[in-house]
Amino acid sequence: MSQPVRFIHAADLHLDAPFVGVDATDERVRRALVESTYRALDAVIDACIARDVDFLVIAGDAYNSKDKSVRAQFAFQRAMQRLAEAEIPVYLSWGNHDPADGWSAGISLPESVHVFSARETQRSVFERNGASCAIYGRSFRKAAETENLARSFVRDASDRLAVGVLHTNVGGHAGYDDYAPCSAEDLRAARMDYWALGHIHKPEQLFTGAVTVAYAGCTQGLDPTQTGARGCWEVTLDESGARSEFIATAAVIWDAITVDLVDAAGIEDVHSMLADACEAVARAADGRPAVLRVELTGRAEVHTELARPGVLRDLTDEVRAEAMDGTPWVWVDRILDRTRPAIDLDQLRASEEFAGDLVRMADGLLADPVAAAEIVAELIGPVLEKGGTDLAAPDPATVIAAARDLALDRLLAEEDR
Amino acid sequence: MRLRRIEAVRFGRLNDATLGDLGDGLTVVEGPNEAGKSTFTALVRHVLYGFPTAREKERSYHTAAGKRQGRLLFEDEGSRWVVERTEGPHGGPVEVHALDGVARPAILDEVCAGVSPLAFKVVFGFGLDEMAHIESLRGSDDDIIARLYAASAGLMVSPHDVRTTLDKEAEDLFTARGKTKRANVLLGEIRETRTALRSLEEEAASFVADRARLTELDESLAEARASRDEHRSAYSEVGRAAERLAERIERIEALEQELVGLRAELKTALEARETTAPDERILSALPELEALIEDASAHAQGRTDLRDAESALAQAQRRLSDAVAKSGRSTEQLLAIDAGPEAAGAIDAARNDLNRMEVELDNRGRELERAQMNAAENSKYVIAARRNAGIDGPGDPREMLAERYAALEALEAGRPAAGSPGGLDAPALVLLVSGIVAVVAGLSLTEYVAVGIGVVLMAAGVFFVLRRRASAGRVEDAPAAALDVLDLSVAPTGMELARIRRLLDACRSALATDDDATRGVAEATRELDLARSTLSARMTLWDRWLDFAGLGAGITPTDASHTLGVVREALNLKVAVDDAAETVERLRARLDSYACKLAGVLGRFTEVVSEPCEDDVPLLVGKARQASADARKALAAREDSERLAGELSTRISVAEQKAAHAKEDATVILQRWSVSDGDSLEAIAERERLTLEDAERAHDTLADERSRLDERLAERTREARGGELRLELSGLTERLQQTAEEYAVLRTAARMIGVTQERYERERQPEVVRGAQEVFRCITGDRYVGLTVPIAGGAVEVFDARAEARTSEQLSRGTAEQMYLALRLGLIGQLDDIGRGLPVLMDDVLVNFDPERRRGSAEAIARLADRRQVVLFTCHPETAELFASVRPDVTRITLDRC
Repeated sequence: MSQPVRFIHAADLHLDAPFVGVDATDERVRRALVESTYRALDAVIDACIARDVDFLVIAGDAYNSKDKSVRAQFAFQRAMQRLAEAEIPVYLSWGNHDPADGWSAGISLPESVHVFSARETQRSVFERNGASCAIYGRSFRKAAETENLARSFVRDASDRLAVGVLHTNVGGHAGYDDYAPCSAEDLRAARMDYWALGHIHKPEQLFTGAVTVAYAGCTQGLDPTQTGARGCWEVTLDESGARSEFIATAAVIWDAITVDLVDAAGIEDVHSMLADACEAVARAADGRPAVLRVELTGRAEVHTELARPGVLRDLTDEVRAEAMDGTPWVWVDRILDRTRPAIDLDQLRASEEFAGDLVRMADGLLADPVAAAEIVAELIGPVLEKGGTDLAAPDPATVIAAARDLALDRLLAEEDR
Repeated sequence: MRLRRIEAVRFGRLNDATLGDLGDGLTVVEGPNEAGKSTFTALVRHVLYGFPTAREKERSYHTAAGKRQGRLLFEDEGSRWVVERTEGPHGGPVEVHALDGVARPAILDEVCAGVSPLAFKVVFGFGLDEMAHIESLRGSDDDIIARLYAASAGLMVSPHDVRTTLDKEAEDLFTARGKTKRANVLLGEIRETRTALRSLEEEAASFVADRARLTELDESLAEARASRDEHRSAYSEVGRAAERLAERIERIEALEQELVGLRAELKTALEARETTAPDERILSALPELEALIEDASAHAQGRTDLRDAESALAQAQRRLSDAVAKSGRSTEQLLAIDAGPEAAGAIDAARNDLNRMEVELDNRGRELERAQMNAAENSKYVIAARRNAGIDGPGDPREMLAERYAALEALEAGRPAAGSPGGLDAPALVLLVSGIVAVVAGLSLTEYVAVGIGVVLMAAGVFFVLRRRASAGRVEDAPAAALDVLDLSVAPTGMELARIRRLLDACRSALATDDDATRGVAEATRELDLARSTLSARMTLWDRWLDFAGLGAGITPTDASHTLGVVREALNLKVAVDDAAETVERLRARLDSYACKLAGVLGRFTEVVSEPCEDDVPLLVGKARQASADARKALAAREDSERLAGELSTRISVAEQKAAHAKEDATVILQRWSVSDGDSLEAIAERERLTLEDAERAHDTLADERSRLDERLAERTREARGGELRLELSGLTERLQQTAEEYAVLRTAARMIGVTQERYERERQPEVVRGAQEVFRCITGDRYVGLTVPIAGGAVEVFDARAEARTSEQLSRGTAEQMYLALRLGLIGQLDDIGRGLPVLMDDVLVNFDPERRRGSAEAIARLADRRQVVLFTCHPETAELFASVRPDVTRITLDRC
């Protein structure tokens, strides 16, 4: 058995990428988020140099071409230059966010960076100190690449070890654009030893064994849904297969928790429970700052109080300020009130009173999604019209349920004498 | 629960007035005008809800008797409570007292639950004034019907109010044409952020072009820099040439001017040299003259030395004369005396001998005096000793002493030996022993009498012993001759013999000492005589030596030494005189020589005395100095002129060479630039300067543009504004999304309430309205059969049998009031648990009804009284009778006018 090769598999760096779904009003948080993709890139480069790997593969989406971020492209060039100085070659394929026809700041990458062509699958051989490995790759020609690029990968018979680098959606992964679609069978048919994939932001190994197929995930979570560890893989590959170690690179951790308020007697209890939850998140963040989204649930006595105008906002401000005082800080991005009133809806539903009529009407709407969507669309139409593409139509069922609870809160609340 | 009694402690015109007991159902309170019916009605409301403050537009019922105060007595299942309110802040404090039964501090809240003060005023405690309010407040925040309707619908608040609030809250978030609402603001901010992002992206889009432009600028800048450098070099060269030419021309002019001056100075210097020639005679004698002038100070010193030498000579001569005079001899005699060391040695030896001999003589004399004094002293001791020994009479004391010794020895020979047995006295011993025994026994036996006796005995014994011992040793058979010799009359005791012997021994010793002193005197006398003769012999020898030495006899060695000193001084002074005389002679000769020499030199070129004396020397020296100085000055002037002329010649030569070189350089420059003069060259330099400025401007313009562009490009590679804007956009979008969802929920909630309300009105309102409609139909005797009350507000309409609708404005006052009464009765009839403890107080509300409808109304009110407590105030007896006829069990209370 000859020498193994060690390399780092990264993808979806999305330098200077727009964050979605976060409202960072604190300057520290804003700065950390804006810098986070760059810090994650630094972490990848640091890991390559510190671990003295043989090479680095990047499976697409190093940056978002359409954002035309000069800074991103120059930062990427500087990072590649660092690796060139460390004599670590890079094998790079473009993805849907940085396709070959995407906007370029006109910078040139070092010669040690091998950029795979978008016209055909290319083969490049790495050799050093007795280790040898063929790296195959292909870039996206355009953003909406619908061709099954995996089928163009064919291992050469002379390859001792072979690595495939591709930005693709294997098996139509939900929640992601179905670009360069392929199947697991397509990948197996190429007979690569290791598939270094990009596109899916969650790191995962689709399968291991004779061939390992892995998504590196993004190096930095980009929205509140991208919780958990984010980073890259260090892969040691030889004829016996691949052994992978995950390296966390995210500069800011995204987290989401659910807090059941069924036992909360008042806002103070909610405050205390949220503070405890923030501390737990900070402890689990391993010294890195975190952006936290909280969902309050449960049929709770405090639902009515939370539903009062300004109460949830004030609570969010207080919890947010306290969590930001910690080290590392935790930014409570949003507290979603999904609690339900403590009233017994079934009991109301059975009554002949006004509230019963209202509950029954809501039930009817919830049972009729079309009607619910129509009424919600009609009511929010002016806002959506003004908001254009910036706004997504809210889930009608959620709106109906929230409106029902709000109406009941107001109707059944004791009038201030 | 029923209101049983109303007590006005102080309220309006009512003081300590009570209204009660009220019945469980219908109570008719009959009283004339000003009996306090309205006042009682108002009192109930104010005790329940608080006294109105001055700011409220309502009759206040103030009283001069003090703070307003009232009580309501409630009864519930046999227990009674008093609610008392006194005027004060916030409506006045309330006290609840349980008259019997358990404490019920919250009874007021229970009674009033669900009924606001306004609702009570309009629906529960009303008069004609409030009749129309039930409709006039429709659609407002005080829509009583809506509120009571909500309460009857199982709600705590009016759905209409809730819906209004929700719509208002939604409108606070967004309006279609708003700008300041939250969503509208966010939309505006999103637009601005997008614009900024687009601008940034456009800048980024131009990045490549800018980089290309940067490359172009680099090339253009290199060309411009080369052009600038070329022109700068050319300008520098021509500029330097022009400057050099100008400098040369200027230098030539300056040199020519300098030459004119130098030549004039040379001419002056040469003329001056001719006019300052010195006297050659003086110049030839000048070295000697200056040497003599230099010796002038030595000559002056010589004169001083001469005077000092002459003074020293005179002084030495005086001292020699003094020394000779002091010796008393002539100079020759004095100087003839040998004052050598041998003479001095002889004098010193003689002086020592004589001094020593004189001292010896003095010592011997003093020894003799001491021997004589000792002998005289011993003689005094001898006399005393002889007297003590008794031999001071005439005769040889030594013989007398021997005689006495013999007598003494004789007496001593006859004296008994000391300590013989006969010395003891037995009786005395007995007494003594007896005394001791008695004392011892007495002390032992404590018998003090025996002790006393013992002491007496002991004293007697001691006395006798002592007396015996005193008479012991006396010579018993002393020879008389011996006694006579010793001048004794009785035989002496031993002690007396011993004393006589001591005296004799002392006398013998004194006599021996006296003999020794006498011998000492004789010896001292002999020694003195010997010393005296020795001194005399030495004196004789001294005199002989003096004579030999020529010093004259009879003088002491000291005098002789002094004389020798004088001789030596005289000799020294003689030598000093001789030396001083020689010095004077030598100095005088030197001075004379100098004067002659000086006069000789001066005489070569001036008139001077041929044989100058000493006093002429200063004048001669002065002349010599003047002549020397003049000569030197003339000589120096001539040298200066010659040197100046030389220098000027040199400078003229150098200046001429420089001018030639400068002309040569200027010619070369003019030839190099092919011009004939400096102005032409200046013109060329100016043209080059302008060209260079153009080149520099072009270069700087390009450099500035490149620098700005480079900085902008570098800034773009660093700037994080794009990321910040995208993050800002994310935040704004997130906030807008939340706001939109909030808006959707509010709007949907309002819509759902509205739909539910509409449905409820349609399906369930008849329960409320039907009650009012039925009451109204009964009151009007089926004149009107229908009644609609839109819950969201709007006019109430009534329908007659032909379904013709009329609003309240289209009805007569009486009919309208009947409709209002019907609405109240219908509403209250539906309020099962709302305000259950509240009585319905009506103040003469039937006055405008015709008899038929009044009866209908009375029947409707009586039916309400079956479920609620009703108190009807009236000033019309017929109305009271009407109710009594309708409801025979009515409780009737009569009030008198206050």
